[in-house]
Amino acid sequence: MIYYYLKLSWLSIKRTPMLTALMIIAIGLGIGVSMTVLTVNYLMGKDPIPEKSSQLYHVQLFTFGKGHGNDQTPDSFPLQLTYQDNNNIKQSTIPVRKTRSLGTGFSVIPDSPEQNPFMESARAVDSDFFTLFNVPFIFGSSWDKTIDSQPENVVIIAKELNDQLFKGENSVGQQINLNQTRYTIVGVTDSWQPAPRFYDLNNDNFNESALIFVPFSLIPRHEYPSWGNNRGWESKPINTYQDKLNSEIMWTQHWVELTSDEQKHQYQQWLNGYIEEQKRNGRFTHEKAGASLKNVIQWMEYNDVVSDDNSILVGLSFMFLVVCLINTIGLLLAKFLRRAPEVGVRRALGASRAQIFIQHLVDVGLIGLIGGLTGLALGQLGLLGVKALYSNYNQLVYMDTTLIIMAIIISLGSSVLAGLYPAWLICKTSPSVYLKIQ
Amino acid sequence: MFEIRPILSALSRHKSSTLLIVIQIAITFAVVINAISIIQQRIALMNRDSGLPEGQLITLNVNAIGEDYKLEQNIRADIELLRATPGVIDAVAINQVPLTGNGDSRVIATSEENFKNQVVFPSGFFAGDSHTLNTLGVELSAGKNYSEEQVQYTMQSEKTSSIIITQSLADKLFPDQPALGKQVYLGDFHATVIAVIKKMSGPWVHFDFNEENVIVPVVQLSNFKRILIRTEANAVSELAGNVEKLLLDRNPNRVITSVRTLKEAKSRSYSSDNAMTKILWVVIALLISITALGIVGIVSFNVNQRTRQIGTRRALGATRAAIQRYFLTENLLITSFGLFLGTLVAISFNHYLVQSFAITPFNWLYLPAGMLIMLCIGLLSVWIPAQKAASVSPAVATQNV
Repeated sequence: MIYYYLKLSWLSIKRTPMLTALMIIAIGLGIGVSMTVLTVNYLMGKDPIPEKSSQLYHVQLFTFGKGHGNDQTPDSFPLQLTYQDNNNIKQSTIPVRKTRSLGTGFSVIPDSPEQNPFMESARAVDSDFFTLFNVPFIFGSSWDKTIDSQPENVVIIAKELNDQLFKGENSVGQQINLNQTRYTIVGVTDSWQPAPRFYDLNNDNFNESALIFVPFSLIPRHEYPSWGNNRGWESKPINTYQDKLNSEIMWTQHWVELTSDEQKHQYQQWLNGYIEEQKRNGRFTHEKAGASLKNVIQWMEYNDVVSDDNSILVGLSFMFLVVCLINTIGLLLAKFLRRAPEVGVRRALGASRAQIFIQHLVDVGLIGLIGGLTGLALGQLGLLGVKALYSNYNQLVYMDTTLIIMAIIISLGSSVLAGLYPAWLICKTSPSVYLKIQ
Repeated sequence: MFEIRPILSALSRHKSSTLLIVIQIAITFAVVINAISIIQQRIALMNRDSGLPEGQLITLNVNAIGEDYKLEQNIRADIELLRATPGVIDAVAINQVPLTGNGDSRVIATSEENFKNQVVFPSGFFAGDSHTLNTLGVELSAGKNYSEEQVQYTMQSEKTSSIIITQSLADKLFPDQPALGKQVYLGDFHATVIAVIKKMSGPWVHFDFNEENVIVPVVQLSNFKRILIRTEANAVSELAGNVEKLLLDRNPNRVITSVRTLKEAKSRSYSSDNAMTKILWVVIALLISITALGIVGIVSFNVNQRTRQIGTRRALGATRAAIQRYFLTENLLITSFGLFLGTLVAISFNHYLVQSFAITPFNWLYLPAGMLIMLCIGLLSVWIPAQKAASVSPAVATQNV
């Protein structure tokens, strides 16, 4: 039966090529535009680490003094921690894993004199960073935990840099020269480029990840510059690097892994205790002084990872799709009503209303499917356009299977929805009217 | 003469297809009005006057290598070399460059008292030697530049007794008073305003305080240093191409990064706005074509349906022009309904955008302008089917179809 309906649909398409083409263009463009926008939107807000996003928490402490605050966040909490607080909360034994973190960078000086030195962004972290964020290793592993408190010049590099400097060979045990200091390589990670770069949302959220990782404990020894944001509120002069380490400037981050709600509760209590202790020492004079834990998804929402522009475009593209569908309904009405005499004959010969109704829905479904496929192709074109417009969106411009299935479902669903009214209209017409001469 | 009554009664017999076109035109109108308004706002933002000779500036970063790198010596030597290079008007080692999106900001108050009470104004904080003003190419509206003797080279927190501020900041700090000679407080030091800049953009183009900036006579000694070069207009691209080699030939012990003309840096800062305007143009163009094609499709169908009716009218003496006029008037009526509804949709959608996002309401003049355009598009799309209708022969009336 369905084969017969499909055959009839194909015949009707052939009979009204112009109207059918218009409908396919309408559905195709509607799907193409909304899929382009939805893809970017979906990938922007997508969970970058689904296996443990609800267990990883970013720590925020309200360390501002009286009368100060952050006007960029809804709860006026600062986004980052001071160096001293970061070290202090590292003492807690409650989290399963924890890491301090700072975005920095180095001049990499290749050993062969023909290669020029080049700059590369880096990250100062603790040994837990890699297991905490599931960073895969190709060679070696993270440095020993003792290095987190007793610094040594060790380094972990990413595949991209290993390919460039060591032609992809196992470089563990070799040394590299970073800003005239030699570091021993202990591990090489596989390429790891989460988008958005959720573990540090201070700079461009969709920038590439650092290719060099060094122990956080080396910060005082080598005086790493911050390549991110530094936010101060005290009016004290900063004359030396040590001044900065002792200051209330907020420029470092802290992530913890907490496996249960109970553990999270305990840790929150521990942080509250820390705040009280610091208050007794004369710090944290603001009435809001407190601690806040946000998991990966909450942290991304808090930082508005999905841009306003994108949300506006989603709204516009939805309206675009609605226009395309209304267009299709109008065209379907025209197409079906033209066929009314034929339907009259079929009804007179014994076809039931339901059969007529279903046949017309099959008609619409077929058009919807072709339109949807056209839309997917147009969507790919659209994504190429987006890629050309936004240099940093490289990781946001591919459709995965979820999105492709979604596109097909949206186009089929919406075109059948668009076909309901015209199909109902045609199936309820009385056969006798059309059996007369027009 | 326009047969409005018969048209209305004919339309009332095709309620659903008429209503569909009306809704379609309404939504199209609402989207187009709001999209054009966003585009205009972005273009105005991107075309703001920065007060700088954008086409003459080049910026780059110098990253010193190693702990024995002599910061002050190297900065002085680099700047001397650049200033002596043909085509270069001036050059300066500076902590940040306008329009690039990176740099320092400080909060500024008129007194220590106000600072404590948080009556402060955020400002872009520029630090460089006495060539800073000339290199930036900005104009002073009052006062005089600082001299080279006042400039400190320091690794420490900058403290200075002289400061230059922009007019925009002066208006905030000292409304209705001349700022020249007044004291300002920056949290750890007081400084006297020695000059006021007419207009100058800061590093962050999307911040409200973009035009509120200060310049202090300090050269910060740090391993990471920005350099700004102002060249003759025709020397920009050539110098941008070979400045890295020029600096490395003098001392190879550093890495030069991000050599960009200010125009390139600016277009990077505005890339999201630029992308948004282009995407919106595409959406508008596609939406209008879809609506127009829909009108063509439905009117063609109507003409086909009414062939006999048209033939009868022709046989009864209606001219070709009258038939054509009928379809054009019909379209005009439908479009007008659509635009009336569309105005309501456009206003409520705009209200939503203003409430939820940082969008300014659209200028009401967009409404009549948009209506005129939509009416023209409606008439254009109905033109061909109307021609076809007009060419129906009166003989059709007598045939059996």
